[in-house]
Amino acid sequence: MNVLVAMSGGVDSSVAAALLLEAGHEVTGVTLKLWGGDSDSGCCSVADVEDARRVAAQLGIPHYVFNFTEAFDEAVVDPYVGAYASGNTPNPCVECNRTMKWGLLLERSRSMGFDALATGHHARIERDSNGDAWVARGEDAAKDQSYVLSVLAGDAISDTLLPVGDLTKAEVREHAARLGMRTASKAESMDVCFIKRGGREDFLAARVDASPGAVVDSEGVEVGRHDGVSGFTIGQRRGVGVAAGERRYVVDIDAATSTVVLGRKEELHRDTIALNNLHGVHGSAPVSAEPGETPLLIQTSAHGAPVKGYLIGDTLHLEVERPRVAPGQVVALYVGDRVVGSGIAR
Amino acid sequence: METPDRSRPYLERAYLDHAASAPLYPEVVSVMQEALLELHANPTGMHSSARAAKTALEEARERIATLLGCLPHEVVFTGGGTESDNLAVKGVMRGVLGDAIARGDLSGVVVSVIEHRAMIAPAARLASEGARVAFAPVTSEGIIDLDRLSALLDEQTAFVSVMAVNNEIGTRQPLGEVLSLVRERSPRAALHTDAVQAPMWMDPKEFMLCDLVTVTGHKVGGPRGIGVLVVRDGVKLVAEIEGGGQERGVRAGTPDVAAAVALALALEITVARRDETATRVRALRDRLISGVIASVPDVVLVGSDSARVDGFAPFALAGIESESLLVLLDRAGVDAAAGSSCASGATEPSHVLTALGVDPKFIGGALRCSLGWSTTADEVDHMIKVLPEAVNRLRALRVERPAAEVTL
Repeated sequence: MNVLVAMSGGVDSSVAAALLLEAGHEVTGVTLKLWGGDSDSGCCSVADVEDARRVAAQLGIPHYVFNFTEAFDEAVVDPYVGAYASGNTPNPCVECNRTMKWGLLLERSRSMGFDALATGHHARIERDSNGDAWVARGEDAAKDQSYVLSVLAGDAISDTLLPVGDLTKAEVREHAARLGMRTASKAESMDVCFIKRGGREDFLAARVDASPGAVVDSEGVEVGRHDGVSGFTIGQRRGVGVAAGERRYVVDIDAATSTVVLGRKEELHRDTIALNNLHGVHGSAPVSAEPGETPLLIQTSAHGAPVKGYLIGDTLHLEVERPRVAPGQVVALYVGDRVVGSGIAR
Repeated sequence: METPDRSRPYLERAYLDHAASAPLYPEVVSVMQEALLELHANPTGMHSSARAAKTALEEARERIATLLGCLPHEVVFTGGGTESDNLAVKGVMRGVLGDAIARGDLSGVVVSVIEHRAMIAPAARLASEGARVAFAPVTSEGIIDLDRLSALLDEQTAFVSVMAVNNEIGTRQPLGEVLSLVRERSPRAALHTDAVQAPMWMDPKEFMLCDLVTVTGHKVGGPRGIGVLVVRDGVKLVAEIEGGGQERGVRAGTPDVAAAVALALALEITVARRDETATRVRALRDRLISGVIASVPDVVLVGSDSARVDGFAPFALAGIESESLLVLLDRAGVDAAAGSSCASGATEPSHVLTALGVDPKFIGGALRCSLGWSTTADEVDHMIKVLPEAVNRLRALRVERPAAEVTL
């Protein structure tokens, strides 16, 4: 096959490219320039582009850089800022996957005539008896990235290869070392690529109008003031800025009145998650799971144990209570190891 | 999809990116290699080896001065076009700015909106340091709008820059008229021109009428990493790079003697063969343009038919993204370009095409083909052969399968 590999400059996509080449595919590398502003982390810097270029040169494959900065601003950064401004907690990496890698890049890959788009994500692609393609959990449970791919549609998955999904991270590093890749021991990027380490508040402050407001307790009594709701996330304990006898958590954010509500940890507990943007990988049918059927496994963050539950309408009913999911967070839905859909907590 | 065309190995590709960097003349490579070996000494030394290097450096300077029509001491060697542009605008403005800001005097900078970023970026920097910076608009043909330039010039203008030939669309600018305007409206201003794209296609007299002139090695069959800023007598410059006081104190650092010798020869060859090269390249360029127009629908030629220099074929294609097209052309054995590129190698949206007011449906599909001394009919014909297929492929799949809509 003729495969376009999205190369971030990291070890996973470097090995993905190498494995595809060893499997006999015609491989072309591409690195996306996503962020035009300053950042010292993540996948957007010139240094990472150079790493990807050097790996491609070492493999003897062509390598290109696509400038997606404008589209990235529009589809990822602006909504990210907007979400925080309205009291939500977004997943920019998931949005980037949906709109950039499996949006613009897949579109280009298809129009250029490539047969498939590959990335270095730790997840697997599996096909059911109808030939439909699904994302499933990667071999390395600790590195599984199926959550960030839970928003992809079936037809995009169908044109996707994830060559390192069957490997553990240690095995990926072994391959990189075997191939003498410069990225073999490179540290993983864990941050939002367009924000400097620890710089979220500064980033948002420069882009969101200050909207000072009240911090109230669950009875509505004002206990303090804040500079803007964008600094808060549901469930957050620290940084609340008021003195209180016992530990308080952000239990609600009302952007319209710029009010942050504090409460006890128990007040965060929920046995339901209401979803917006309900997405089924192959239409909506596989997502429905009502009591009596096999429960869905529900994952509310990139890592961590899933909880069991059922989907009725657009609301998930959980078998056990868990802390409230911050509105704006992606909720991935699994049957077994297979991602069947997702939604966004509201 | 076809596999990359390996029947056209590295040096046998269709190289249509001369405006980015031209191949070196073989004679220049030999001379430079010899100079690298023989003239290794630091020209500032006291010994014979140093003297040999110094002599070669000064001979190169004299030869360049003769070619360009200026005095040898007016030729300042730099690290290339970008450095020369930076030195011109920052060197002039930092000489006047401190006092000027205090007096509110002589703080004006006017540069054309289609300058290379080597001029746009330092001008923007100076604006943040207190200079009054204005960008002079161009017509839809990419030629400086003299009336609007005139309106931007005043007694307080200290520096004006209008490039001799634009690097994206190849339009030559009316420097004589610009000079008259500047002298009339801004008698104290220095006029600079970035002439890196000019020596291949124009008599040096046409750009040497300016007070400051940028020339670079790698557009004229010479090496990268060497350039010249011509600083005519009477223009005061403050050094950007300070140190040992080389190059009349405006550009410190041990000069690259071999590169200077190579640049002198490259310029000599370029000037000596200019008419012959231009005539031959013009025919090839016209063949490329008519071949492309005949076989590719929805393509326009950007800029001015009358003011375009011979080596440029700046196309813009509707319904295409430059980056995808460049990938397919690369795989088909063609080296071409879009607008300008950034350090990461990504394609940047063209500020030049935007300034011309090019129809938005064409603006994302810029395809700059630039030809030069080494271009052959085979290269042009190869491009004419593979371009329609690449364009059709990109357009066909766009229509059949619009953007991968993922509902969420």
